[in-house]
Amino acid sequence: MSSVSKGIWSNFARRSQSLALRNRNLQKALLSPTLPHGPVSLKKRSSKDKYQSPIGMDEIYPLAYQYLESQSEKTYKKIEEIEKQLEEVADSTTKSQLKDRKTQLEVDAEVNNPEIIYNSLFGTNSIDRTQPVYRHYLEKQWKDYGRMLIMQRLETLAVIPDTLATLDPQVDVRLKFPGNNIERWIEPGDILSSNATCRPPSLEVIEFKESKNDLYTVLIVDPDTPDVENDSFSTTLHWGLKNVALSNEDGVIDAKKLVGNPEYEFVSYLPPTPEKNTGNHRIAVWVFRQAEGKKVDEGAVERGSFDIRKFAEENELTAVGAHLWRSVWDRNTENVRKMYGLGRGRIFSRDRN
Amino acid sequence: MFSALKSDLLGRIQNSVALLTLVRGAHKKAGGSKTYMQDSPGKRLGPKKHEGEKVSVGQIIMRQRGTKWYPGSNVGIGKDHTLFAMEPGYVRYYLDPFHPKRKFIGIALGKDERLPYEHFDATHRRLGRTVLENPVAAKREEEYMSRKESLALPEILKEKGIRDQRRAAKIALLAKRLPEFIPELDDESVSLAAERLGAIDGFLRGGKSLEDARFYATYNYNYDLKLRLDATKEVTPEISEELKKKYAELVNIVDSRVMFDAKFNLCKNLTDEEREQKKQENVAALKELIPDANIPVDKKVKIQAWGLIEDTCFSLSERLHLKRRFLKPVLPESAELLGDEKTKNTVAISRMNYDTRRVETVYRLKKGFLGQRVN
Repeated sequence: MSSVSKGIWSNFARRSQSLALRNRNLQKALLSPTLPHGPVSLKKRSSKDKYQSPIGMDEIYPLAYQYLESQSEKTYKKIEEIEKQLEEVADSTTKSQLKDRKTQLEVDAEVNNPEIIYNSLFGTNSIDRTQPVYRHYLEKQWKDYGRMLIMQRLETLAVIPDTLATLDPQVDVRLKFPGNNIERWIEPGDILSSNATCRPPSLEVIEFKESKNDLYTVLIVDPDTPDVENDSFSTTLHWGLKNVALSNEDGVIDAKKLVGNPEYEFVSYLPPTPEKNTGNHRIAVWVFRQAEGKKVDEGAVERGSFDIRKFAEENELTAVGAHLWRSVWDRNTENVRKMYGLGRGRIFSRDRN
Repeated sequence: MFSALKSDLLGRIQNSVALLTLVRGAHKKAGGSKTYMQDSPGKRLGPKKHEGEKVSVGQIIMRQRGTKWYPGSNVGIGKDHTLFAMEPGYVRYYLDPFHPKRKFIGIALGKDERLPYEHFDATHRRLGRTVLENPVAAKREEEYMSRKESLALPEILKEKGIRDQRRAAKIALLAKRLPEFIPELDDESVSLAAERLGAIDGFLRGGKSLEDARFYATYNYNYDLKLRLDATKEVTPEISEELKKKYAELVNIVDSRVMFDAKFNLCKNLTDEEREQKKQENVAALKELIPDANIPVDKKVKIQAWGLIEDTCFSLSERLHLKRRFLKPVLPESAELLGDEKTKNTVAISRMNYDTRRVETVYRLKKGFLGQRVN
């Protein structure tokens, strides 16, 4: 079958192979000028035989494709020019400006490619995040839902300002507990049982800007630890990771990575074990991007009465993402406390006075 | 002239009065002003607590009509807009720049605190609970269950009991089957290996890959061991090191000898290369066995094909693809697969013929269908 693509979008000499659709049948269907047997999603022979394209579609589709492809070709020419300029320019600010412009053009060149659109809509788990266009689509999806959701949860549960003052989210943070049988991504604000959280979680940090070897710090804090002396609450540090190198290709922080790099962990994981009648504890996960080229070199950090704002300021950390779950005393909490040698938890009065 | 006019006017008024008296009805209209008799006692509105005054929970701070004053921090509002204290503290009358048109009454927790609090400060909260020091009271409180919990608990415990039983049975089965694959293991190692395989099985069912499942089984064991060493101090460092080493050796043996297939059955382990090779061999054998999937094959071949497809090297989706490729549930309606009449070897199918607009009966030979799985 002939292909509608006669130009740059079927040429993978300088474009990445990840910009193509991996499924051959789908690709063939997407690039064929007509659909003699209908879309590949049709499974039954009778449906395939009955299929008729909408009137005029067979004429319009190749025309539209070729127009968009020619536009993309022009954009690629501009990219080439910028690449030439980049070689000549020495000034760093101009260079970074040109780089930004190039990234923008790389997005523009591919944003209308049907194969890219298909991958971004339906193949988000196996997408190549080193490609600016895919990051563009991922960011759009995240801004439409994920970012709003996490901000709503942080605000309504008052994690901001109870931990950090505020947040301008720049990365998508996903969290799960892989030590359990069932693997699922935790929705921000979920109330989890003490059993589910008894081993360290794994995180995925999805960057939308180009990121090659940025360093990150992750802090998990509980701002609802009862402080009986002052009749108030204090913050406990439950987990501290520093100098974690992440990139667009690999944004995962899991047990495998931590076993290989034990120096990442500067405060070991302590599971949330709320005491009875202290209500739901908000367990906030904060992801910080470290200042460029600056390593966090924190000596002994106290878990109790942890001041996250001071810590972030002292180490020049910028909060870029967050996640949270909630924990509450349950019938298994004492077992978890025993497992970690914490001693029996206190019992608080049921009524407030 | 003026007096004449006056007498004329008077005469006219008198006439009209006479006319009015004529149309008087049977009822007399109640007279009086619109606002007459509308007074009520004072409602004693206004502030009940003033700036800086100490209040305890529930005390009324302001009675008002409408929200002349809004509830600020730690203050609640009643259905008649009464403001009351929700925390013990000190009353503060204040303005909030985020709501420039409103006046607020709040409770500051400390005597010297001002309201509103700094916008980006952590919220000022009071714990308001005490630790139960009396062991009897503490135990009673710990065992206390809400009605919802007490109703749900028996069911939860029952299900947990069933789950635990099933898990124990699974591990016992694994321990029983393990010597088939690794005969040289001693009893202690067998039970440890069975525990490990049980964990791997759970991870696989939860959606992890075999590699991840094996990794997390090892990771969890070592993590628990580390807790026993560091946190609870149950084991000494030497014993911990020894256990770790022993487990690593066991992992080497078990992982190189057994694995789970796509249906979570214990089977001989295949390395990646072996798996690829086996896949190719099986597909080649299937091609030889069934060169054309549109031609019916006999029962023996079918059973053989099933055996090849359900080999341990294939994943669930690969099995499905192969089944669709080699063992079609219904073969195409070729002339060789059509019968003439109803016999025990044919199936009658009624079908609408849209050209003749009649229902036709087609007799298809039974060998044109895959039929039920037998082996």
